Amino acid sequence: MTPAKQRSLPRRVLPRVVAALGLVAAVLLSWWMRIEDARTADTPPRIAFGQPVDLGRVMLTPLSLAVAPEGDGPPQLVLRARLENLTGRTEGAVFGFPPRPPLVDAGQADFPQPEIFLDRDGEYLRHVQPRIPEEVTITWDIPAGWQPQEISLTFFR
Amino acid sequence: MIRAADMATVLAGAALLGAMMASAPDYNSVFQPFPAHAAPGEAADGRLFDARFLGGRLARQVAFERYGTPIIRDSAALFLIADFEVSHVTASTRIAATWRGASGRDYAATGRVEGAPGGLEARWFQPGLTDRAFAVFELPADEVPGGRLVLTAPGVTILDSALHLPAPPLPGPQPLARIAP
Repeated sequence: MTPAKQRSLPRRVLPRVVAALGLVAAVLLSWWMRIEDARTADTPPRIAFGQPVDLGRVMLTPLSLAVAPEGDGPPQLVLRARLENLTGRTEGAVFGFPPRPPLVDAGQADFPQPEIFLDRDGEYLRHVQPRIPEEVTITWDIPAGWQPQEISLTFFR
Repeated sequence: MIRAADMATVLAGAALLGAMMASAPDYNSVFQPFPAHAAPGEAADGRLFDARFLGGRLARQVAFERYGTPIIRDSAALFLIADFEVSHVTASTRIAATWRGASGRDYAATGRVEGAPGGLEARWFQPGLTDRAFAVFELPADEVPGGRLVLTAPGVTILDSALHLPAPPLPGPQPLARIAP
């Protein structure tokens, strides 16, 4: 039996170094992919009415925006929209948890948190079921002194 | 020069690692309640309670009274009113109901009939008492055949039991179903 040929140190170490580097690269790549998934764009894409907005769990399609005429209550900013659950289960947190509802950017006025009603019966929206799109009305009470002007709505994912 | 066998080992290790990373289930997939299945019409045995699917009604609208006020709810799909029996309760508990549709999607009991008399959200089930209850779901019609009622204790059900009760044959949808005590 002939003695096994002794390999040089670099030849013995190099495969282990390559394997370790590959392992580290895989871990770093996985970590960075998670960061990229969680990253939000610096400038959100602009959308028009009728174009769907992917909010992650829910697809929201804004249909119309108007200032409701003064009635018994204070004037309101009213957004009509269609919601569709994209998940495989009943979704109660339409705007995420904790909720981040659409943000109204209209001058210096601070709009309060909106309320969401189901168009079908005017009740508060409780949840959206899979495969059952719902039309909803999202309302903001208009702050005192605010005059109609150009408005932008920001949706968060 | 690195031998081909060494390179193959490294590449195989990288491929194996990638496959494990891609296929590793997340936390929510790993930690689930233990399912207890039952044949149609039979009772399923759970840790806190047993349950049996008694029957159901399908309707396009449901009507009920909430504190004396008549309320009618309609749906873009269908309402399913699922009646079930609860027995062998080992500790006072409430029950959460989900409908796992034929497509595998989970439909939680709808909150749109909250306040209906005998509604599941206000019911407690006590040891030593066999009781009946119902849950109302809102779902597309094709999710009912082949679907099943899933009953659990409310809240976190990890490592608890979930009773899976298959749907018996149900009559066709009515225009209106009344929920009464």
